[in-house]
Amino acid sequence: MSMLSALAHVQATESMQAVPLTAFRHRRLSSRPLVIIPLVMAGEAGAPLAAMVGSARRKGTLLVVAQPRNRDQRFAFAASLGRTVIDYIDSFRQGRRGGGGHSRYPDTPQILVPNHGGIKALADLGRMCRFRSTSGPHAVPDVVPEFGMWLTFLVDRAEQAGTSMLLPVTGILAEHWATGQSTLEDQNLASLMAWIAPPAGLSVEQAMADAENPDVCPPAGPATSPEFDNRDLAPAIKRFDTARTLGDLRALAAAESDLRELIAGQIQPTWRMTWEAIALLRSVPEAPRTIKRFERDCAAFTSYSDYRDSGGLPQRKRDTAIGAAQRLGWLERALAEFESDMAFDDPFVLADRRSAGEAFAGTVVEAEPSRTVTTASNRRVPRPRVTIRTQDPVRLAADTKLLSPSMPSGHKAVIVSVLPDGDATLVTVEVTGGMGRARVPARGSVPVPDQRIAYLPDPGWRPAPQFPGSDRTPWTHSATAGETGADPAAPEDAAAEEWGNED
Amino acid sequence: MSDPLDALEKSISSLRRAIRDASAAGDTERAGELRAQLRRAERAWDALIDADEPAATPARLEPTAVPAAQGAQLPAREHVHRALMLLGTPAAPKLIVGVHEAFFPGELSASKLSSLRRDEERSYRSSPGARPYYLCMALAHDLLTPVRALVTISTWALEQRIIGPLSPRVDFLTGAVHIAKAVHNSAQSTADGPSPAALRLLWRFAVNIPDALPRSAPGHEGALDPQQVIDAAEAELEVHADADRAVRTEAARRARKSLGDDQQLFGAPLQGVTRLRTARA
Amino acid sequence: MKAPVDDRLDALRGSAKRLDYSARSLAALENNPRCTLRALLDASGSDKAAIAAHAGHPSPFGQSAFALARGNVFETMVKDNGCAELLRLLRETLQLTLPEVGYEDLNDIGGDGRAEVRHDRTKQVLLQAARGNGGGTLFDHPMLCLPVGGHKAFLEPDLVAFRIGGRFHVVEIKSFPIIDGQADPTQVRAATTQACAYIIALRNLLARVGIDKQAVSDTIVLVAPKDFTNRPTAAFVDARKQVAALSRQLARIERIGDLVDLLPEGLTFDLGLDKDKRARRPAEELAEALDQVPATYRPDCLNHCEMAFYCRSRARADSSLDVLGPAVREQFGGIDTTTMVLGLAQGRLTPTQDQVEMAAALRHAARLRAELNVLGGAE
Repeated sequence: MSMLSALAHVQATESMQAVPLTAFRHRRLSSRPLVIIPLVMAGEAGAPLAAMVGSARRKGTLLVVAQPRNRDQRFAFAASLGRTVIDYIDSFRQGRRGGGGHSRYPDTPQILVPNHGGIKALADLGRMCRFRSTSGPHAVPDVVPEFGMWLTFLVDRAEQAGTSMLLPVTGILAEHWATGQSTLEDQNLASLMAWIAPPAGLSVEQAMADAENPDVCPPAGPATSPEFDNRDLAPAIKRFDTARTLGDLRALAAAESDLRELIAGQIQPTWRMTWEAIALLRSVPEAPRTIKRFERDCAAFTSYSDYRDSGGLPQRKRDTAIGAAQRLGWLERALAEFESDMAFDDPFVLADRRSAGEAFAGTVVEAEPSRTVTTASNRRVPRPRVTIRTQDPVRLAADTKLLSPSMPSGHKAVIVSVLPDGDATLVTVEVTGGMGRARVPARGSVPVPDQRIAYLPDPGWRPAPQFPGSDRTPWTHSATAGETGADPAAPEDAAAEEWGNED
Repeated sequence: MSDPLDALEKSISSLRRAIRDASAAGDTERAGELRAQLRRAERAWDALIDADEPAATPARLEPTAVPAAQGAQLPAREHVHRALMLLGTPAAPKLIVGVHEAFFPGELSASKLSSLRRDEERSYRSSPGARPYYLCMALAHDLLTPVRALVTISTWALEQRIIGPLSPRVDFLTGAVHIAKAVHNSAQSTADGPSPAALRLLWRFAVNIPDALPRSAPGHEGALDPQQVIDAAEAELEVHADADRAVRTEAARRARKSLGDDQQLFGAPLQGVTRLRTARA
Repeated sequence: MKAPVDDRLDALRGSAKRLDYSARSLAALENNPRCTLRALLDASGSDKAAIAAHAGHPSPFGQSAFALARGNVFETMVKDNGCAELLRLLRETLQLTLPEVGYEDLNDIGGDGRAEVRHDRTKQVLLQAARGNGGGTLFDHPMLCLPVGGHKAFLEPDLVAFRIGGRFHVVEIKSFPIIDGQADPTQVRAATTQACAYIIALRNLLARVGIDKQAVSDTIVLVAPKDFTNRPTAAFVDARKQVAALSRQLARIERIGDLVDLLPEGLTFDLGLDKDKRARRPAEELAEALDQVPATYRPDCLNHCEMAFYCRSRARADSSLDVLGPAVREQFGGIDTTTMVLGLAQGRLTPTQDQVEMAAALRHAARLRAELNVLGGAE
């Protein structure tokens, strides 16, 4: 966090309302997102309890697992949720544009969950489903492993900064608004919304108190509140189990509808609030470079679609050493680019980086527009220098490559020197690009005295790191041959899961 | 402009707040009423939004009608007796139910078992020896007090009913041998072979015994070889048997000397640790 | 002349029954060691939940019956049939040898479940084992005892396994899953901290008869469900650091007198319980008493301290930066309140000598935000 963002939180505290951290929304919002609110059973690994799913506020479907400890019911649930999600994903696999190896789908699915816990719940569900066998003694419907693989793809992709195929709504909100509470409390959708848009007639304080009261705002999941579990859910599940053991069909139907009702009461408030948050986010203008990142999402979506069509194997349980290193490289690069994109697009983010000394803005006080140098190939090229006076606490060193949101695109520069000047700083930069091909820089391509200008570091192009091919990996870094993880297609030890879970 | 959904949402919010206020004031009755109202409102909301989409309900009803097979009508104590005789060792209710379900027809639940144990002791005390056998307790080797949750049969030798430090493992391995034999027998004698429940039970035992599973086992109960389980269990039994027998024999001797007939079956009265010190000294 | 420390602690608690330290409350020492309020409430054995509730900020901690049931079912399953599953795991992970299967049930002693009785027996069998003349390998629910601040705290590990490389190992059986070799780090940490209290108590027990602390391993064995199955798997967790940290915190409790000395005479958190156990003391009076003691609130407290909601409201009332959490706080080193931050940022307050640099940075940041507002980004 920078001092500027920290200050925004302080201002929010003082004014008792959320204040914006950015001018734009840096995440794409699909016109037709699929909202999923997953609920899981407390203390149980990968035991889904319910989910509400749908692509419009008024088209939500509630799916409930009456006895989450029962394996068959668990996978029946995974199959119904899976069908909805796969149908939704399939609806984007059309209208492919471009030819040959570069053709792409023009749009991608977008799944929104209320919070980070929702992503974790989907990750667990994906892991639980993707290795399931569709034949043999513990067969599951075809859609289950397919669903598992897609979920895993989306969860993996969501780790990459700037992507928008799977996002937690609290995350998007907190990227745009600063509240007067901590990061921990910002993960509670209701608390966050209390600061940004309290319900009509309520003060922020009242709304905050309500947000932490499970009677007024049931938790947004994935865990339900312990009070609800003990007071309502446990007895209802017990009634269901008893009816099932007795084979009493009428009691069973009653118990089931009772459970559904109870869970609806817990999940529907979050459903509505999630859609309110989405509507709120739509009112924030989208940042220009969002489209560039969206195109990458399209490419990734197309390529995974094709991989699925070709019958590709499920993702490994754990990355190989090389896979993990490669992945880390991508993630770092995506993060650097996302941060730079945001600063380029958004004066708020730029100011943020300025307050941290990672960017600067000021007035041009001196310019040498006609300076040239001779290159190694004996060519004279323009290399104008300008000096900028800034009040910003510049922490960039000489030789840092720069971009400028205040100059025409393609403008590039490099820092020559950073010198203190009273309580200000003088930064001299050399313009290295974006001046056209002629010997004299194109008009407007070099800053002029008295011009206001901002610079930030160029995340730059870095070559993709080279890793040895998998056949040349030293044995210390490869998965052991005997390990189940080495064979991603191996079905899970289904028998091991079968027993003992019912008592 | 008066959308019924909006109106409902408004009343849902105020109901939720009213519940909070009622609970804060300690008025649980009122809070309960309001919760019921809230559920009705949420149901109405639900009905309005997806009137045309009946959600899939995954629950499935398993066939529950078990054909009244031979022996299914026996009293519960007979079921327990039969399961324990097959196993040949003291066992916890959960394992007894497991053995019963694997090899015998009829209903038996663990909760039934705990009431059964009290009945047995009462029955014995009112007229000792009136029944051919009693379900009774396993005894701790040092204090000779009843051991938590282990059931045995009165006709067994005292040595068999004593639990020393090694006995839980010895009994586990002995049980494995007997279950494997039973699985082997039903493979030989019945048309359908052993039930899936029996194979699962054997598998649960086998996975925890060194070398009891085929080397190439794909983790599946179908690949089990009962003879291999027997051999593996007996190999480990060899390691513990003598030491275990020594403790059991010594304790049984002591029990015969110091306990009355009823105490030999249902355990010495609980006396705490002072007695233990002298017993061990 | 001030009363001795124990008397003063008793006076703080008042008429209520003393609550002893448990593995859970000892583990919590690790979470916010610098909080005086918490240290005093714990050392005096006060009922934090009741106090917070009476002061108007009930703690929302409840555990779901499902989680409890799941935990019990899993532990039972691991220990079923003479710890069959556990033996397999210990043979695999700790190279336990085949003859090492001796099992001692310490859940009750001949039907007697009292802590003292169980502790006596635990001491007896563990010392026998340590001296090499006992057959025990698996000690099921031993009852350990650790003196904390002059009071006995009884601690009950899930299981202690002995003689793997001649050392005792604490085994923690938890029902959160280890999926593809990885478990939730927060839960692992909580389990480890809890196990540290057992390690320390076990070492303490052996030290009294002159056995070196090396006899107890500071690596714990975590047994948890594998992936989404109900079958257990085991993992080692290195607890060295946390054992050291907890030992330090325990040593601090011994010096609780230093904190007590700073309290005003006559201070008490007594709830004035009547014969129906209802609190009769006026809530404002209780709050006033609490306000006399400094608390170190952090948002993280909301996850584990019963007093957290009370402390948060106090921090809010004080305009403390603590409310916003460490990420914000560390940006304003040396400044404590939002009022001070804004005062310096807007130039309304004159910075002290060591605030000069911070004030300059704040004014710069404030200018930037003001420029942005002019740009029309913010309302």
